[in-house]
Amino acid sequence: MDPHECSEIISRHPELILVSNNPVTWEGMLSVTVNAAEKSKVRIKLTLPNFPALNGATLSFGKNPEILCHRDFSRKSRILIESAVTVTSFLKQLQILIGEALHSHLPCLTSINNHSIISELEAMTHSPCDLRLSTSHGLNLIELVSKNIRVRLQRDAKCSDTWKIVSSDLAQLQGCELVVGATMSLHDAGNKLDKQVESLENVWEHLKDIDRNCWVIDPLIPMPHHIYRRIKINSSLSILININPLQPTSLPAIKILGSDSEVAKYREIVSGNFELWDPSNSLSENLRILLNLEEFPQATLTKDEKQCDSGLFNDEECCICFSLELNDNELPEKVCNNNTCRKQFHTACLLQVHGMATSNTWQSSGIQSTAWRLPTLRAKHIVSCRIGHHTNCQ
Amino acid sequence: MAAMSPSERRLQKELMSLMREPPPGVHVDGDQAGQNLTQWIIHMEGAKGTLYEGERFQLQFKFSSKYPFDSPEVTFIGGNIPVHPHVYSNGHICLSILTDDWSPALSVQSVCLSIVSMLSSCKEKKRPPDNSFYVKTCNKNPKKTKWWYHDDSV
Repeated sequence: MDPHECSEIISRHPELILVSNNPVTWEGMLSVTVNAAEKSKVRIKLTLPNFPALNGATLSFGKNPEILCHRDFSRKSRILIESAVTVTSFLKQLQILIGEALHSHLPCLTSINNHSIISELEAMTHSPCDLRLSTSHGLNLIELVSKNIRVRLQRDAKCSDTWKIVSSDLAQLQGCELVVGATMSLHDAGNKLDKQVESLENVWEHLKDIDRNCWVIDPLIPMPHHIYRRIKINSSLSILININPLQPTSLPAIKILGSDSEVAKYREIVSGNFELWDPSNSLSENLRILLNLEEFPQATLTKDEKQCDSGLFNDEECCICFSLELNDNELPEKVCNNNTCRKQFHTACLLQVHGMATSNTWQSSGIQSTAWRLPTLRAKHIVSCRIGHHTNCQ
Repeated sequence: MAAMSPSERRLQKELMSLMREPPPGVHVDGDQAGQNLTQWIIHMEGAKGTLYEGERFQLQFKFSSKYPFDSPEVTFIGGNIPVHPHVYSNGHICLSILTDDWSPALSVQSVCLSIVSMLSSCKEKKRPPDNSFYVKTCNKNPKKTKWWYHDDSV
């Protein structure tokens, strides 16, 4: 036992007590400096079987912050034990090590920057906008929600006033400023979202009416930014309507899609019924009159039933890739002109077959229709086969 | 799992359908095809009441990455090649939908049905008239057959 070393430890660490001489064991509180404003105490037990030498020493902590159990910390303290020359110098370095560990794991203190964000958020919650706000821990990510439309913003690392949009339900809406990557202040984002939602609310009401009454085949799952609907009329015809957000009850842009004969027939019907469009009617009612329908056809199968369908491909699927969706939610929009065939195709699949399909667009008085000819695709030969001996089929 | 290409997706779907609801007399080796989607073995039985009743055949389908835009390479393989006026003794089949008349709207199933019906409609079991010459000179890939013929006839 080295009395000099002992008295040195006692004078520097008055709360450490020599609890045993064999082996030499110091136990008690070690005071540490976390930062300029905060000091703390950590309970330790240091056993030194070869005192005053440090070899074989073991260090344990009492009920202490989790960080001191961390593998990284244990490794560092082990290095300290191995490298220190005297117990006093070891304890001094241990104080610094614990102080640093505690400091780096302090809960994020409310800084001046965060104060400004909080006041900005507070101002927004008091504004008349019908916004819901939520935030991540540390105020780095803010989510603005209005009528189920979500916009997420991330704080710019350099400037606390600007926020970058990281996701937006309205990202694909034409003319909308709330696109991913755009930077703006929180206040602006809130205002823009509120305005956008307000202008779309009316449109959504009308689209809901369509979704209720018609067989909508595209979009598969309508999202807030989808302001178009493709409505199935019969097996070889569908109508694509694109609502004008500014005047949702006025005649929408209409595109007639399907086989030539059906498209021609409906183009004529629609042309004749234009003047019957009455903005005071519901959108579905107006469309029904425009198309001269008794009622809209309804979906024959629910989505679940379609899943059970064990056939090679069902009526809505493209008969080339045997899938409904291709690439970016592209749905089949071409129909074979052969009335006994009426198979659906993705435009892209057909283009791949024929290099390029002939298409011309007919435009008149607001209606757009694509007249399209299924080239020599022999879809009708699905089962019937033409057997030809190669020596005969020149 | 890596995303499937449209070609693989379609083959997967065709395989599932063929395993679940095979046309009569047709049976796909699902394990083998499942391991390698680009090469399938299909077992076929001669239809009842036809010249091939009781016979068993094996068909090999090979698909390129361009399937279904590119037709599959279909040949009879194994010990029993049907004796048929459109089937060569090396297993090559002269069927227009396998080359000129191929359409991406066709499928493995429709090709199988075509072959079954081609066999069933046979009136007399015999090899094609040019069998021995063809077998000696043809390309390994039956899809090149027409080219070989034209080239030779010029």
